[in-house]
Amino acid sequence: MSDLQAPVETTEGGARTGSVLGVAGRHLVSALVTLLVISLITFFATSLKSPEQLAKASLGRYITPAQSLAFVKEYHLNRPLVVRYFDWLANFVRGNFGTSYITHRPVRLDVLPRLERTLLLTLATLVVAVPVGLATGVLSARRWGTRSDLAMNIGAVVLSAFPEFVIGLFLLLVFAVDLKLLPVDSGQGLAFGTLSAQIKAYVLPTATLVVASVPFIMRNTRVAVREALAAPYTRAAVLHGIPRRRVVWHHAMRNAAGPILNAVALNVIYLLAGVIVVENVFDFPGLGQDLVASVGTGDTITVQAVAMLLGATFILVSLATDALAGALNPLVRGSRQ
Amino acid sequence: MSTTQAELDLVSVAEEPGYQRPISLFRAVMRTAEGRIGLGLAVFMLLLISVGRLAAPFSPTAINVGPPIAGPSMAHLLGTDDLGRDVLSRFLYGGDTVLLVPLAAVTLALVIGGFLGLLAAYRGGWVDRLVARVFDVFLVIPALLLALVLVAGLGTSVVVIVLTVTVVYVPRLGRIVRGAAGRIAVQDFIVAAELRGESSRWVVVREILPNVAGPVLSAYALYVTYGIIFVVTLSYLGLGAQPPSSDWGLMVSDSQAFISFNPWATVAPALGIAAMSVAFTLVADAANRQLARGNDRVGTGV
Repeated sequence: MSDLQAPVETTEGGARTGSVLGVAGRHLVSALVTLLVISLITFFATSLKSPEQLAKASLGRYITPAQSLAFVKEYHLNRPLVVRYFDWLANFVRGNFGTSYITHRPVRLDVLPRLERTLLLTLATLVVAVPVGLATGVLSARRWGTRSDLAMNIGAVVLSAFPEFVIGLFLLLVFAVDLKLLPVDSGQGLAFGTLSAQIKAYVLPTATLVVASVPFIMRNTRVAVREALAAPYTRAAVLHGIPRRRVVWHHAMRNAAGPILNAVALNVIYLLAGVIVVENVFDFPGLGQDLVASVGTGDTITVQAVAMLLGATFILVSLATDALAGALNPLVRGSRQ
Repeated sequence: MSTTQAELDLVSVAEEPGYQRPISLFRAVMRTAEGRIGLGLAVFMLLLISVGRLAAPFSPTAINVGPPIAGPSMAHLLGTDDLGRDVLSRFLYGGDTVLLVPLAAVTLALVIGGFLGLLAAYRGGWVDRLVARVFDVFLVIPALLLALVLVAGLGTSVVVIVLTVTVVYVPRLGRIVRGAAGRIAVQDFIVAAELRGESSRWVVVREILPNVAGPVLSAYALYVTYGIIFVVTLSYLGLGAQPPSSDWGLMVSDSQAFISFNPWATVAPALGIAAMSVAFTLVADAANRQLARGNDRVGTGV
């Protein structure tokens, strides 16, 4: 039934621009609300520790009550939680992430280079995973119901059942331990290595995330393309004698673009969590490794900053994809034909 | 509604639009090769993690039962770890938490999320809108980020991990229950039951619940597999199971430092995790696929 609606709606054309802005506005509001919720959960969950616990984590187990009191005073921990929350949020928005209780360094200095590396890792993954996922998905859709389609599909299911760190370890075992082609840990190469060592440091983490991402993109592409290929307009295009390749990539793909883009967006969101695990497998000095290490040492300020940065990145990505989906989807954009 | 009870009894409910014929999940799974392989592997893994420990030659936590970080030998079939503990024994003991913790958490999430979902679907109106909104907000927060922040504040213990994973999965399962129940709640036989004067609880438990059980249970199976991956990942990151536990996730991270010297200490638990997760995923996927197919037959054809 949606197949029939699609061509009818597109003829309405540019009259829908107002609603496009409306949609964008709604997305922006819900993105801000999400970020606010993330900030609330982050701040109040990490504030469950008492000031005394924080003082001990910072100064050592055997501090005197006077030292503890001085610590509480220094970091203004005696003010009401709500006041501290708004103070923290206002500082964060202005780019002041605070000073770590543990390292006594401004968190900003430690976190920003890591953010850069994490984003680069995510981007590298997308550059490889999206084309591979699209190609295998289209292949599978064109062979819908055949043995090779079934085999690819089961393969994708099995692959998606592997935790990222298991995939990463198997790749590490083969390419770093056995074949000795790539470094076992990425940290050293990134810190001290030459350009080629720095590039090599990215290979295994990227490969792991690609293996973890492709099944999801593939399965979604497969279903979306299949639906577009089964639609009446595709059959009409075939009957018009338009070459098969053009029908698949021009007619069907354009209509499948919305759901596929949605899948890619979800995958980016997944990636921002996936990097947390994969960075720890390869000792990759990114945000995820910092987050896990800080949770372990009780470095509350760093946990807050990293959680917010990951949250904000992920909201930005969602917004960007929504905008892109709007631009691509003929239902929203209006037909150009 | 002018239909009488007698007429309603005559109408085959299976012909109602949007209604899914209840189909035995076990039979649905066994219908495909994928499901049979998954179920076989799942049974094997269940045996391994429950009674496998009876075959363990050493205590999983006894140190220096052999030389530290040694490869496989007759005395230690999978070698030893850095504390001279027997890897095989640790492997045989370490699988139960990998399944039990996520099972507990996802079940708890199903109960809470299911209650909220049913409440929303049946009450409708502002209750429905409120529940849906809260679910939406929590759904967009990355699960691992939420879990890490909660563990940062609460520290780690089995209870914290179970509750954290529950918080993560309540909106996910709740949304599925709400969707499934929402399709049932508008059907004529629900209205009929209400007109008969049945209590809300009766309607929900006896009319709605049996009709959503199939899709909800197969979704539950899928989320148990997600839960397995999620909890074992937390353990791998050092935020779940704590030493000297031989939880497979923790075993992998403990042994990664000497992976070149005794790879079996890493490979064995990693394979165990993979086998467990793949087994449950195959079963859940088979169930979901069969249900989706049944849905296609009832719904609008192309």
